[in-house]
Amino acid sequence: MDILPQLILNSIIAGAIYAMIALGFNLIYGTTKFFDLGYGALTAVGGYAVFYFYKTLGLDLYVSVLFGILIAGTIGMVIYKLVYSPLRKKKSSGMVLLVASLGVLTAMQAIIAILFTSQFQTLSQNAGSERVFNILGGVITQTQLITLVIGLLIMVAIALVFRFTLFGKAVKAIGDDEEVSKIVGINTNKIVSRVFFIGSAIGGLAGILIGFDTGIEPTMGLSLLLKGVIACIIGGIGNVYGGVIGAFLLAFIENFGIWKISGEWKDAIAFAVLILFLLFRPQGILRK
Amino acid sequence: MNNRKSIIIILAAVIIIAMAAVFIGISRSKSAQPNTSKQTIVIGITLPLTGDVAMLGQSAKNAILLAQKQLPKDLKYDYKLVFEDDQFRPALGATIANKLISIDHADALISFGSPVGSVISPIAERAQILHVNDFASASHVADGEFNFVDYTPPYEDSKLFVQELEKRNIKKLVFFAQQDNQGVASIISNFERDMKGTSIAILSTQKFNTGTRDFKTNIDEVKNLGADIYVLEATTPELEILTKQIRQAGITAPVTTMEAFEFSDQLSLFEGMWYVNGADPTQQFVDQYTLEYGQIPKFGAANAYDVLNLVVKAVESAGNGTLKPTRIEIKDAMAAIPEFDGALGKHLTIDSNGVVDSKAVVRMIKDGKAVTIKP
Repeated sequence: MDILPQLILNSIIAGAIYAMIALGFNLIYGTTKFFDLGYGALTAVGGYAVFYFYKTLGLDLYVSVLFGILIAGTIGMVIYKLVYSPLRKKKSSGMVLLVASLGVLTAMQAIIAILFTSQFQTLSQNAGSERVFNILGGVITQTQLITLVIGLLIMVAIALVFRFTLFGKAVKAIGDDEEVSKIVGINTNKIVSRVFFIGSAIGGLAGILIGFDTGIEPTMGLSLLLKGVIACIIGGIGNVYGGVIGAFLLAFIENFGIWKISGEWKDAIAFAVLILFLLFRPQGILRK
Repeated sequence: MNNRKSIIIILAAVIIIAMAAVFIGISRSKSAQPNTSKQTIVIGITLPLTGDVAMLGQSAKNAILLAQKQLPKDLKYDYKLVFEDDQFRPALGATIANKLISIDHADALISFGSPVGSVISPIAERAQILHVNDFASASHVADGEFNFVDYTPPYEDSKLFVQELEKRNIKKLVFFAQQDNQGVASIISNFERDMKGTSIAILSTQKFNTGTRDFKTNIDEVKNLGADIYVLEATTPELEILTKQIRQAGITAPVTTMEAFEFSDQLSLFEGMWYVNGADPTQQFVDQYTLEYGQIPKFGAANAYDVLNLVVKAVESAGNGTLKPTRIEIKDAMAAIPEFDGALGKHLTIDSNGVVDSKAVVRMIKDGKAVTIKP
């Protein structure tokens, strides 16, 4: 059983990444009520932006990361303004928005592949050498530790924003009823734009951290998005805190699930859990 | 009514423009053909020119172009090479094969790697067109009369690999396998067969799918088993990520592989590690390639060079120069090619399964470069 501390640590590390993806996705879904598949590509946007500034242009690491986050957020917001906002104004159905977001995902992946090639890239400068820490019997790398800390900070920040700021209250109001929010004077378009910026920036940051840990590729967003969506559904779709719980639960189930069986079952386990929740608890762990 | 009229006019305009484009395209392709009385043989070539193994695909393309450049001037036919990029993806490979056959009217096909070769193989057999793959470990790529492979067979790799393990007194090993890759699956089945009767114990086989990025749990399961060596059978980027995570887990035992290391452009990750690889290219080929392109050829380039020469040899042997040989004649000529000298060495032969017989070698990564230590 001396593998147990490492299994727990692995689950927490994976859960932190899923939680960041779920946070951004849930922010957007909770406000606009549609599945934004294009969100997945923003993880790659963040990663490749850092790749360009840090590895190609040789800028400072922290400046590159900041640029990466801002670019992912900005592109997310621009996509909202150019694609989703006009569709929403026309009262387009959820299916239309879903299909549009699929187009956004596909187009962005293709653009990234054209600009940077489809080859897998890593953001770390020194392949294979990184500081490693021993924590309570488990091993964690510097990048994974940073991912954990940043993930926790973002969760806390989002919780505080929702609780104590007017913006957070406006987001909750729009999520509850957009029409009523307009009537009471909330500039819903402006708030939703900001939600897309913040959600996309979180997604971009997740992509950057993954880029430093394992690497980036143009199609990385879809598999991450699927895990984020599963986490959201498990935790309670539209509930930001639920998404976080769902993310960690999913990570634990996946890692403990493949402990004694082959690793090729990992995705099958994740989707089996999704189906079980959809069948028996579709509202998730925490209702919205 | 006005709307309907507008739609009809627009549709008609689009159809006319599309037909004009096709007509201009056909006229240009006719005028682009060399002004010669020789018939032109079209060889369709699909390679991973972009994507994770692009460096291997590009090197193979360079080798093929070098072979074309060195073709004698007095051949019976002109040879037109049509290159397509399959990104090492089977689905794309199938689409490309059909396009090369039906639109480019290829007289022969060349492909690269087991994943793409596996889907093109039945297509070629059905279309009765010669297909030669220059990088396939999966033996079924050579199934049928029209399919051939120019690559060191996995049973050669496996035989030498087991010998080397025994020579190095390896008693216990752990196996990591990207089990949904066809080439890897072929290598594994040969390895498991050759391991029978040896005193080497496989402590654990960890299987994973393409696209896996988190191997930590798999690694934790095996790290305390006391393996002498870890055998990694994966392509890039799974190979690099797995290797890094093995080291991050504090495992210091060596890693090895049959062929996988040279899929990576991060050879420094495997510094000091020995492994088994396909046949070495001749020094003559290496020198010619380096002179032409200013860099050494990558793994598989020599195979690609030989494949083009084999296809040309088959066509020249099958045809009389006046008429193009039929696809069946080309296939029969390919199968009848006697012993030949190529970029992979002298006295090479094509066995009854359609596989060019070449021998594996033991290599090591030294100072970030692959060096042969045992031919």
